[in-house]
Amino acid sequence: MPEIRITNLKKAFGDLVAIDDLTIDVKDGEYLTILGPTGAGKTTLLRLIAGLTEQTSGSIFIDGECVDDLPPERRKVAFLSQSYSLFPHMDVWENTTFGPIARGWDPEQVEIVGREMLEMVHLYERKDALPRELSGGMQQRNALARALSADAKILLLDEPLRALDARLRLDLRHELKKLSKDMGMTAIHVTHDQEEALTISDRILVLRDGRIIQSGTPKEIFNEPSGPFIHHFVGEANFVSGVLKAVEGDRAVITGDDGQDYHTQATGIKPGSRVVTGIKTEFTLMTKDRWGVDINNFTGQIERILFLGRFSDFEVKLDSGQMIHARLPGYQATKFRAGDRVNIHYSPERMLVFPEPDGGLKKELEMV
Amino acid sequence: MPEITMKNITKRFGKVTACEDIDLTIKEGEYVTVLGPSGCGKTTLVKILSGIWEPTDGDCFIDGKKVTGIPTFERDLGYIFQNIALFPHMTVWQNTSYAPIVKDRGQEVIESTTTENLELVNLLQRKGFKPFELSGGEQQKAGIARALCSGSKLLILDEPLSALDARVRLDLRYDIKRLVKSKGLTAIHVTHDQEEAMSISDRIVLMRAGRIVEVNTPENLYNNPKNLFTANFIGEASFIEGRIVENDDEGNCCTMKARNGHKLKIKNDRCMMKGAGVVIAVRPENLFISREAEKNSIPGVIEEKIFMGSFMRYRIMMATDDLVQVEIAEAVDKTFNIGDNVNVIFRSEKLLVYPRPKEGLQEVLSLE
Repeated sequence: MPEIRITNLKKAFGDLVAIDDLTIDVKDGEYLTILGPTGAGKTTLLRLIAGLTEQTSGSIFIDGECVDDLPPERRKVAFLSQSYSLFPHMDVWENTTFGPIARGWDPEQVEIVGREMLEMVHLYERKDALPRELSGGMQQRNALARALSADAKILLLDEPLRALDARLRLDLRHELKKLSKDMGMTAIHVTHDQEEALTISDRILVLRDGRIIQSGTPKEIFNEPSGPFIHHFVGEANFVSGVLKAVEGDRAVITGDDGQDYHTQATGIKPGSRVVTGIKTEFTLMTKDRWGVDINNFTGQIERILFLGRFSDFEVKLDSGQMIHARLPGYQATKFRAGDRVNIHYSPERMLVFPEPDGGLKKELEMV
Repeated sequence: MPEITMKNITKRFGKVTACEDIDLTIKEGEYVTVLGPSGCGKTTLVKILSGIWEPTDGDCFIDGKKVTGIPTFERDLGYIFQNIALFPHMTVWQNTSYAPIVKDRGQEVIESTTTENLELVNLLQRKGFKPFELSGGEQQKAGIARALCSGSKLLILDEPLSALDARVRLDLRYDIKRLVKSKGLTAIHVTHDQEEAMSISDRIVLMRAGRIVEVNTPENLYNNPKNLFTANFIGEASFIEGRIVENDDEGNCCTMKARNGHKLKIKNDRCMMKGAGVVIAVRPENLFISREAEKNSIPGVIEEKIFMGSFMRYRIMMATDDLVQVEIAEAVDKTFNIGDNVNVIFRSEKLLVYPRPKEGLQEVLSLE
């Protein structure tokens, strides 16, 4: 049973702490995504699990066995790197069967495994092609077949789709997850792409500055982010800073720094505290006419429209001077033009409340 | 004022034809994106326009003046690179002021131009930083400021966002659109990312295998693509193969019979005559799901269910052996589950119809 257990893992490069006291349990058969901005420590974490670099402290267990002292080839993990690293002078077949041959399997077994893996990634017919004769997507699948033929039950994927065309990525997401599930593998997939993480994962760990800032299902991460950073990183959010005035029942009222009152979800934070409230741009309502409710209504003017097909993103300058974004489905978006005066409404139940971050909101939201 | 015309441009590298017989006119002040999969010839095309390569055949004109044979530095254009290409030993200020200094514009102009453009990209406060002290997004902002400082009215953007994290890309789109439009520049932007192209362009030139497939506004390419490749590449679509079995009196309605005898009514100006083999394309947001069979519906089984934030995506294998993707807004989603028997409901006026390609559907849709 390929379970992974990581306890108090730490990795420092000199003074720089890349991974800071991580404890993670990955269940058998789970598809786990590690999501975070560049420099969060994602790749380092993956390399630690694979045994390609040594931790400063802490332990890693695979199937209940501590692997801290085991070299990479004995950890039963398949590692797929960003750059694929196929051998350029070997064809698809040789690249795929390299591992089994190196391990001294008998030729018959090599033949079976090679064929099985290549058929699974739809590359058997191209088995005589060299890497440079393949498209990016095919190279990626070849690298995947090679990783899988190592007979591992754990798949470690380091930004496996990053080098591919945007449109192709959408199709390969499904294939990757399906393959991993069909083979009963446990997968850890590292990405900076929040949409990829939402669509492919059983569970997402959000990593920032070497620490886990939230672990949850895609739905939890999106709807119940642990702080303003994730609220803005997974999806996109509009924020207001202010002081929590009162909490009553399932609602709270915040006096924003712009002097306006904002009605929000209830919160356990003490009234009088500095807070930040935010709403996803998808849930930010934009209409020509004013809503018949008398709270959380604002007026402004459309500055720019970004057409996205299924959606359009609108940049709106509120009369308070604040710039906000609203994402509308295509059939609603067609009603608006740049320069239009509009009404914006924030539904209180979609307004999440967080304590004001140390160092302020701007610093919290930085994606470095 | 830059207006660009490309006439019968062909570029061959040995036996490989990178671009074939390209005709394109770009109006003054227009933002045009050249979009297509890897290897389609899009980068070759802008390299020819900027004078990095000479065409094998054909000519480029800038403002009616033939520029074939004129070197890059005499073509007066600003260039933004995918790999950003800042001088690592120079500060943001020194990098940005490069063009006015090289062009001997005088201390006063150097000072004012650099200040103005750094302010536009919000980097003036960081003018003393070296590139390595900046995030990826900030580095590209410096690259943009540097290109703007050249004072050229023609801007070439070569995959400007590809090297950046997904979330950072979303924010920079707004900046680029704002800058280019506020300065009244003519811009040509190369990308493989269809969402980026849609969000930022006045017009998109979609290329494949060295040729132009279609040129149109993002809205037209998304809502009414003229061919199957466009329908699949710009946004996503599901496809159903069949044959027209009935035409109605008015000529814009017909009935298609898909595999296994299932029929669909189509309302479209491009309806084909009885007997024609056709492929229908439909966007995921234009389909619905119901437990009960309804008018114009086909039964199927839910294979996958994917949370996508404000909506849920279902992948359904229909009784016609076609896999379709359906997106339902979370607010109205009745929570169907994997394995459920459902009916996919088609709105006849939202179906795009094409002649069935001789070379096979998969061949025509292929992204590689």
